[in-house]
Amino acid sequence: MSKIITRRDILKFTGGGILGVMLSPLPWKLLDDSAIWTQNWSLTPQLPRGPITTAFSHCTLCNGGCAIKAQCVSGMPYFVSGVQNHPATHGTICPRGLASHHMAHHPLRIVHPHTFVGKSGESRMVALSLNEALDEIAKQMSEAKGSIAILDQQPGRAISELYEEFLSKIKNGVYLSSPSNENATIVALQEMMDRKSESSGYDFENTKLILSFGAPLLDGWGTPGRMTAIKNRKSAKFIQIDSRYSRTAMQADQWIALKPGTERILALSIAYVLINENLVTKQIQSSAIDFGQFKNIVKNFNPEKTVTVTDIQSHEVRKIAEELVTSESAIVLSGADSGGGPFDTETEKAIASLNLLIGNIGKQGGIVARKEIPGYASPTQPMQWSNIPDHSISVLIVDDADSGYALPWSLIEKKLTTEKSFVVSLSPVLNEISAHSDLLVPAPAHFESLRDVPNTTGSATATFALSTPLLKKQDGTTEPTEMLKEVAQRLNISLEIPAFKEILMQKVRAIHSQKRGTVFSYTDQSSTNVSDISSSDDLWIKLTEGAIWIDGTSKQFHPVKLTFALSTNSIRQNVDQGLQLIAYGWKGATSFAQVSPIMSKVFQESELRDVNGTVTINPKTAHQFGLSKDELATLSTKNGSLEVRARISTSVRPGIIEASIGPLPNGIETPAHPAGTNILNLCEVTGDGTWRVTTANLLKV
Amino acid sequence: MKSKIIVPSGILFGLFLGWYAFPFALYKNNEQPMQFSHQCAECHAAPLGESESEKLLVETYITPNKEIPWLVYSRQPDNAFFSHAPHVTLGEMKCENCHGGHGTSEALRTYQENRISGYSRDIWGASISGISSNTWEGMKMDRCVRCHGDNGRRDGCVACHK
Repeated sequence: MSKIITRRDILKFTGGGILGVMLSPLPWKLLDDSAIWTQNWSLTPQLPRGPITTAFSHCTLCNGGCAIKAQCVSGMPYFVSGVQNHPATHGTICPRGLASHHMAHHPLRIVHPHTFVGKSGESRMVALSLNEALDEIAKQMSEAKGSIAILDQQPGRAISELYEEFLSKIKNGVYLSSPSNENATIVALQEMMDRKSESSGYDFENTKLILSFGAPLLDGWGTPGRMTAIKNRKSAKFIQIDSRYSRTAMQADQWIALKPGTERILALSIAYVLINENLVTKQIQSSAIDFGQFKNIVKNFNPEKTVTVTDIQSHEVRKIAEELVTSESAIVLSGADSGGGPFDTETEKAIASLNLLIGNIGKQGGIVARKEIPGYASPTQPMQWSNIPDHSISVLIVDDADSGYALPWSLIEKKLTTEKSFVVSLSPVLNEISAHSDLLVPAPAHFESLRDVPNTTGSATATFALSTPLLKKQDGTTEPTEMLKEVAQRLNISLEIPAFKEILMQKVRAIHSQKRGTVFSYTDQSSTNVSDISSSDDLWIKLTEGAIWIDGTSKQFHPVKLTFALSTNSIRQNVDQGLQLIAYGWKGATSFAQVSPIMSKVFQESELRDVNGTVTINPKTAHQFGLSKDELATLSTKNGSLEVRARISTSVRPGIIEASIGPLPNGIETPAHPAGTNILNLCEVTGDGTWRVTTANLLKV
Repeated sequence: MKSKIIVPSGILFGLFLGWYAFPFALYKNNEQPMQFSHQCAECHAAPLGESESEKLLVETYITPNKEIPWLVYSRQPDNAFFSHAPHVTLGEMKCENCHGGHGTSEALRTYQENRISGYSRDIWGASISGISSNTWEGMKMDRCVRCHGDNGRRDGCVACHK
């Protein structure tokens, strides 16, 4: 046997070795371990290890102000749920709220001021220091030739008061909010009754009938748990008047499907029946200073005539009117669609006037006045978009708070000066508005800072709570109060802004000094009268540990003057030229807001929610345009075109295209310019800031 | 002759590497922060405060109110949820089914950490082949699924992955 080891021997040994290894668990175990290793990369978020605790706070992703219970590990929230037995939410929160603790970790999160350089479409984000950003804002404001506006989509908060004070001290200051207001009926009523400075709410808990014109009451409206509890309790009949078979229409006791854009006409034809069949009391008739004028307008809306416009038979209109007056109590309200936007002012007034005609103002189960929260100024209504002249705003600051409702960029653009406008976004997460901004000064993310949660939408009594931080504020983010204070200093505006915590403590001291109402604590589920709480410090501790202050009773409210103030008396019909595009959305998942990427399961993988770019049409429309299920088509309006995927359903009227303003399938297009073209931008925004119906066309790809 | 033994030698070397040497390379030995006996009665029957472990427990953890950083043999990834309650109460399973003789052990075993995955060797099981007739060896998903299947229990994804 040769003792020389040749190259061939080495190769043979190696081959044998490889064969031996392959017959051992080594490769298979390495495969398994390396698969697990990929789950633990540094890019994969990992929970810290440590003690598991429970914390309470409030979600501020919209103005619902839902109480949340957060399970935390080492102080970091990993699971969020509702607070059981909560007097307002009844333990329910929406899907977005369930994932609200993800927002601070969103891939589109920014933690430093940024600006954009380069041409539009090719621009890139460049970081800059806070001082540079503040200097630029002050410079732009001092050089502004037009108005300086602040867009605050959750008005009524402590920061809102500071915004209003700041704007009152500068020339041409404009305070703006979302064009879609969940309290639109109340706002219309306050204007009609000349009670603009009073707060009101809906006494849903005691009502027997809720007649909703398009309000998404059972799809995230207001505080979702409140409406869900009323529905589950079956204490009130829900009638949904909706041109779409919306989620609320699906769950309502009755769905009245009218033609899109004819809500005002239907409301006035209900008013016609109420007046002509003597269902309006003499007292109400005498208290309205322009009842005669209103009657004169309404006489044109005989249901026998309006049926051709609304598609609602006269006997159905009569039945609604009769139910409204025979029901022990009733509330009539309207509401914007999360994607389709608000109704025009005339429609809001027409719907609101039904409340006056049935006399439910100030009555139990109707629309009630509520006292103000001690320490808060009387609410002032933000300026309506329709009242802002086109191309009049030079500088716009967009607060980070979200209404949950869509806000088309085209509406903002219409109001900005054409030559030199400057938009600042305070959003901590990149969104469509920030993509169009000149400067990004990110505020702390959700649950990273202390916020107040004053009256939630439509609450019958005043409430107050605190959204206490659950996460550490990221370095580089800027509190809006801090930004405002620094800009005011640079502009030599006298504006005293103490630390935000001190501002909120002042509110709590004011509540304590009034000794009104009770505090419901989440930790022990107990209610304590404020009068039994020894000091405002104790009240502060209760609120920061998780509690809500609820005012005692509603304010006594007797309408002194009713005026219907309608100016239109024509049966206006939308022109049926071509197809009609109706946008719809999901509260909190529109152009302005981002949802947790993990929520893709509810809109992408499961199709429980529609993604942006999905349209639904009637089989007849599909046949007319040669489209089959899931086929691609080009949706075009005069504002542009977009490739969409068609769905077919008999729940949609022929000639109507229902288009989803949902999240994009992958959450975003590019980090710097997300959602470049979405369905919202195809909608035609009218002069009064609405975009409910747009003439459109479909072409098979 | 030489050529006849070279290939088998290589195979034997490969088998030795895969079956015997590989586990030594794969797992890192970590000692628990302190020793602990599961034979509680014997420990508590004797006067307390004599052993080094008890001294360590009091001085390092109890007095400064610090949590003992146990190296948990059964630690699973965060996306796997396990509760003892349904297994012990509803399933009437005995501790030994999953924990073997751990309850009668006198000292804590060395914690063997997988250098790649970071988890305990107990997750895969003592045998590098992953094959064992003992029900307490291995805590991989296939073990859970097999046991649930054998006992006619629900084994949908969300049973463990919440």
